[in-house]
Amino acid sequence: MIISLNGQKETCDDGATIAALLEDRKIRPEMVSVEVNDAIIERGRYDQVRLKEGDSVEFLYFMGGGS
Amino acid sequence: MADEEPRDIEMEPESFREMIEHLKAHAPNEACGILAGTDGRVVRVYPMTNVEPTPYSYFMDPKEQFAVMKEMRKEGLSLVGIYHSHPATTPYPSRKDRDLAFYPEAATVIVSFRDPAEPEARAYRIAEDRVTPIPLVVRPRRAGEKSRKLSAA
Repeated sequence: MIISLNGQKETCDDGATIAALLEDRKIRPEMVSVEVNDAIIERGRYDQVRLKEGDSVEFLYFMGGGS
Repeated sequence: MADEEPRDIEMEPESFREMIEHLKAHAPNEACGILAGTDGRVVRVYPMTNVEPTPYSYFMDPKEQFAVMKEMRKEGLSLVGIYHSHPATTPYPSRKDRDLAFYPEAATVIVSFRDPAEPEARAYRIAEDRVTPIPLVVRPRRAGEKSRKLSAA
């Protein structure tokens, strides 16, 4: 199926979870925030939320640090 | 994310002052923000909320981060740099800065306020835990150089 991933049209498996999508893209889930259709998804739900055709998925790496 | 690593970062004096004033306003806590632009030249400063406001840490609000990154994409801007303050230490990336450097295509800009009267700004490229200093050039726009400066939101 086709989804939008960070603004780009991408294909992923039908009914893929966020966890599966991140794994497929080799993205460590503990390092990113994920939004689906403008709603932030809690990390504990990455393996429960299934994507649908046309979903808009955004992921961003954390920006942090310290002195 | 783009693959290209930053060679230097350029800011107009106005943008540089905006960054410094934002960081100074949050002392003694750390503060942070995003520098957006094209080809290593900053055209927009996004002050961000530090959701871990202490004198030794920062963590950007993910909600704001999503909003800013989407706006940048819409306006054709790239992530040129990520800035934050070191209120009491040198302007050099800490262990935590290196561990959380997930955007090697962006410059890491650190402003030290060890001497509050003389803030010290430095820029680095951080890739695969390697820290490379890069020039931070503050200069006015040259004559004939087209401005892409955008109005503040």
